[in-house]
Amino acid sequence: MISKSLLQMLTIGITTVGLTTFYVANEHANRDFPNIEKVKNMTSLINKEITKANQREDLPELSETWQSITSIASVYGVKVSALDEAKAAGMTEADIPGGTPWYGVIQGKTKNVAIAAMNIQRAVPIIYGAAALDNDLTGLSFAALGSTNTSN
Amino acid sequence: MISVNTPITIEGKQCILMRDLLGDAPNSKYTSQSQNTLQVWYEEEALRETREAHPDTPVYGFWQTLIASGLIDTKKPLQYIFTTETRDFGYYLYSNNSLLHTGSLFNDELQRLPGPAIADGISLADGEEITVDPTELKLPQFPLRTHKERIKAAAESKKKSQQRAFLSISAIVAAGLLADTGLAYQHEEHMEAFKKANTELHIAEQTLDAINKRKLVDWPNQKASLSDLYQISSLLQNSKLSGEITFLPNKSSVIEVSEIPNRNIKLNLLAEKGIEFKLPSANKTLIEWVNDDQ
Repeated sequence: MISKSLLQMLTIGITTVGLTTFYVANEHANRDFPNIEKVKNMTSLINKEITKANQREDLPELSETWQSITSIASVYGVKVSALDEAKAAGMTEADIPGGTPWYGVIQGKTKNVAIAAMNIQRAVPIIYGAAALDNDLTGLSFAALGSTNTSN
Repeated sequence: MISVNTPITIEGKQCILMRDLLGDAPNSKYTSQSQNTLQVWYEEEALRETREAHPDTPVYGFWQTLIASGLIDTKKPLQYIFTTETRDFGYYLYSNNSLLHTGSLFNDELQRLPGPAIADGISLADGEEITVDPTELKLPQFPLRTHKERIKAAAESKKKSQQRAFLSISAIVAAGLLADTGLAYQHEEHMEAFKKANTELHIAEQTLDAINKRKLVDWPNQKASLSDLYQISSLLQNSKLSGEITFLPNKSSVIEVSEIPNRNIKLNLLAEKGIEFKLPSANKTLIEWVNDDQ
């Protein structure tokens, strides 16, 4: 037969153990343990990308790219002018495959714009975005890709 | 031989065995304490006198000690024990169902037997003698105590158990806090490591971003789409062309053409060049394509 005082002690003991365990478990459950391994794996993948990217040649300076564009465009009698932002060129930053972009537009006769655009892309890294066609005139926007020579 | 009211050594400890009773208390001067499952009755006054006669010597009950030594069996109707060498004096315990009665034994005569025992004609011959060597006796857990002493002992016992309870609770709470501190420390260490790993990831991302601003993975090639535009503008000269188109990879474009001179011939030429078109009305032509340049 368990005595009354022993029963009280047991009740208090079990309650204390229960409350203490609940407190410790609850406190621990509120602690967030983010996955470090996942972050390290991501870093490792990016570092591999860096190693791979470092093996590629640097893009020409953006100013040189721009000069080449205007130079080729002039051969085909089309006009080149700068745009302020990607949106104006019908693009988003996500459309830029690399390098630092310089947005602009080639305007002129559609045939000339098309042939000039093909020749420019053969010579310098450039990506074309939106174009507005109005009878035989076209405005073709682009992002010239180059390097601004900023250090790592 | 066990003697009463004279010093005796039990389990190496000198003590006095005082006369006590089992069964019912004869009068209100008696007090009792439990021994195993039995109640032992004794006079407080007699206890005081015994203590005064033997200061600093603990006093135990005679029957209390026999019970503690495991010598009493209440299933037996009569047990007796002699307390003199001459075996002319001793004590007996009469047991009949729930009735317990203790008394003196003098010259083989059971003194003051209860009614049922007399009715049954109980005599010493019906009993079993308790023979014990004093060295085999065991001391009860507590000596005989007065009512006040028992209350005081109970209070002390309660206080001790409260202290034990308090200490136990404190120990449990301390262990819990210690565990919590340990887990919090482990969490802090983890978060430090995560912060470090995250910083490294951020640096790597920034480095890759900076490198990508100077490098190009694939040279853009939109020759096919530009060539289509060239073909369309060449073939459909003097026609009305309009459209907001895009040259971005995998996006579709539509050019609306109307007033095409020699329409059928021109459209056949377009088809030969692999340029797809639709004729929604007699005057209207829609040229559609998806930029699939690689």
